[in-house]
Amino acid sequence: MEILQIRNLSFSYPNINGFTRALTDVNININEGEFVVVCGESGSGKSTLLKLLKPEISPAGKTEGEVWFAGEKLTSENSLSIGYMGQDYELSIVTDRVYQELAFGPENLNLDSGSIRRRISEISSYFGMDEWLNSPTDKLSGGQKQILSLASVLTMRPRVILLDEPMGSLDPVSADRLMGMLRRLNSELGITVVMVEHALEFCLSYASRLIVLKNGRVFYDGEPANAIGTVKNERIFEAFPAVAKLVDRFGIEGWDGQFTVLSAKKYLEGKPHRDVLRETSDEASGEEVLKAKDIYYAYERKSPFIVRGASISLNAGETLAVLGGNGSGKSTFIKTLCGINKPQRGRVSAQGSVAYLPQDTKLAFLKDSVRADYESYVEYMGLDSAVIADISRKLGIEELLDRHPYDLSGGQRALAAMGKMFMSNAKIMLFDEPTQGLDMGMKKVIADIFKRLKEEGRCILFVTHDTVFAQMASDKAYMFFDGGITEPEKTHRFFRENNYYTTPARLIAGDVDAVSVDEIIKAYS
Amino acid sequence: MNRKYAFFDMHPVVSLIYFLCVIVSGMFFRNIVLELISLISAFVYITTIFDRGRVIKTALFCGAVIVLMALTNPLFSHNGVTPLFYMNSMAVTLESVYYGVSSGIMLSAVLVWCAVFSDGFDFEKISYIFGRAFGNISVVISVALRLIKLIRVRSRDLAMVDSANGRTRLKDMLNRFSAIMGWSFEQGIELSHSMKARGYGRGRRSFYNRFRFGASDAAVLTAVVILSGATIWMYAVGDFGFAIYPKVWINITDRTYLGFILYSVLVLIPTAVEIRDSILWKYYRSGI
Repeated sequence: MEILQIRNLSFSYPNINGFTRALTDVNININEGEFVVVCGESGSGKSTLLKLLKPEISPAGKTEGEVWFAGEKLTSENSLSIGYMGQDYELSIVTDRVYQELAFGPENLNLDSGSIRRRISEISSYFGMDEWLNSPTDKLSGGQKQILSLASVLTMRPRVILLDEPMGSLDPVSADRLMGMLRRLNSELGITVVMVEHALEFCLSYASRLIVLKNGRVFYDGEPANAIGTVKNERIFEAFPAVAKLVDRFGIEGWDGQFTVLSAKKYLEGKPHRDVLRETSDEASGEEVLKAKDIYYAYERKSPFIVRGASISLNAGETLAVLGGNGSGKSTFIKTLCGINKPQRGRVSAQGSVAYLPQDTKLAFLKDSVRADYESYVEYMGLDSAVIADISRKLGIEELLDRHPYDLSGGQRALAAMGKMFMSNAKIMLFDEPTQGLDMGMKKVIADIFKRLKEEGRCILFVTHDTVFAQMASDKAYMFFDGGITEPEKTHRFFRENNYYTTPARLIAGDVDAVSVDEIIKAYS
Repeated sequence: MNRKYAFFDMHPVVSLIYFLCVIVSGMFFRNIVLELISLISAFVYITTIFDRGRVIKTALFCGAVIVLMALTNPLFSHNGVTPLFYMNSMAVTLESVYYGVSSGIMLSAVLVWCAVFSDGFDFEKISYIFGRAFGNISVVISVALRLIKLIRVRSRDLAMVDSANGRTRLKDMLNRFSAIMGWSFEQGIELSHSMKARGYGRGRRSFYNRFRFGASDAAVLTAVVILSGATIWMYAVGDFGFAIYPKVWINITDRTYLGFILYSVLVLIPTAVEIRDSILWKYYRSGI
């Protein structure tokens, strides 16, 4: 049965000169029980489309065409059976306690306490939330917050769930868990899932249907496996899982149409390959710029040490990656290196100044426009203001200068924040999760920026849980674990030796000496 | 729900009415015997629920309050007929010392009851009472609390990033402040989206609560109403007559002793509930 019908839908946002087209003639029919992934480059209209399926939060503008829901025209009256989960799960939580949050929706339906209690008990048992049902919402871990925001949509008993980039702020483990929950809701309860997402490596293997938007129009609509031929020359193809790129290169023969590591391994089985000769360049690294010896850090006097006896030495002209799971303390570790946290034991000594970019790049901007922020920074650093034009040209962000930093997309804002790093005279640059929420294309851009910063003789250290990015961007890699870091290793060797915590390409490659898709392709060509 | 104190496991209306009665009567019943009953019972109660360190701290605090009142009252009040000595040709009277002690007992009894109340009457109960009375306001309060917490974390993070990059001037602080204003406005919009998406603002909404008004709640509430009603009536008709100025005077009628007993029963209810609970647990554990 068709649950959502989008008929000739067009939408324009109002602006100073009239209207800007966001969607043009979109026609999509979604059947009950489908698992739909919608993707597209930023500005393709995917978030707008999703919000138009939920009238309560639809943006203001000029709408043509119609949306039908379960055989009726969609209005804010019948849309209660459509659940919506926003991008930032931190902000979808509106109350102070977990049980209040779960009760919030049913209270709005004016249900009595008995029925609300029943709905809460059901959801709490389904997701195993009983233990923390009474906790204050701000004391929850990231993973719990994400479960809560999904659960509090489900207490409304929706038939369709819309999700706007739910992977954006999640580490791989939480991302997998969320996908697992959505799959369960879809297959056990028959709830239709429509998610906008660019992290296709996590969600494509679950999807029964893929819709690619381009410039506000439907560019592809069909089974995920058949999309490769249509989208292979698009920028969005970068975001596809590794196996798609292999199939694109070596032909569809022998592929079972799945996007998992296992099906990629089966696909490569028996194909001839050769050893790739690796040029091992032992570049002499520069002088030591930062040294930390046996540092210990705890947030409070009686709380356990998060950083426990960690030592590290950074040299000019190096890019280092520190990998680790969520809650491993790796963010605390770099905050200790850059002086935000003062270690209780041990010493951090830096030659020259240190710059730090937090995970949430909104924190890097204090002014109402990028230009105003740059100007105040230039004045503070005592630089020539010509540097602004120079750097914006280099990064290709000239047209973003007069916009509000918060109005930029995650990728654009990351670029603008990188501009400040170029202006800084710091020898040591520390980045906390620099690729959080960015798509594959943007990750490549950031890796390239790191290379340029390095060529200017700076030392770069970033913490991340993104193995693919760490493999692309770093010279050496460490694991942060149990309060300390492991011995540094060359990045290639690091991922080569790891069997679990490594890149998907390494898992696919098996015995072949490859840690990235490009290397696999080289080996099998 | 926190199972902290057995008395607070009762329906919030019961504990709210009970503490209103005990605190208000503690403030208005000016009778040294009633004041002492209130203070002693408060201490008996806290020995069953607080750990020993906290009881001792509370006792020291109350002692200090009583001594302080006893010493300072004579400096300001020169009523009374029994001069102890003269200071600046003003009499320091025994009655004004008594008055200070009596006020100190009253004040510390009320403070102890308030401390117990604020400890046991947690957020859930407050929001239940508010939600019952004002509906939408309780939602607004809950969301506001959430936003304040988010803003606090945000300010801390911004200050952290600034200090890491060496910006610690006053001007930077002002910049941060305006950035936080802009940011919280944005957050407000996001929160309101999340609320609207879950049907907020459609009209009448209900209020979910997990409290059931059971038979034991009814029994305790009835006892509380009868006991406080009786003592208030006795106070009004003068069975608890008491004065310090100009001379200490206490009125004893046929009903006064009965009144003292009734008031003692009232202020010992939480202790009784607590002891009953701990006996129950003892039997439960020993398997009888």
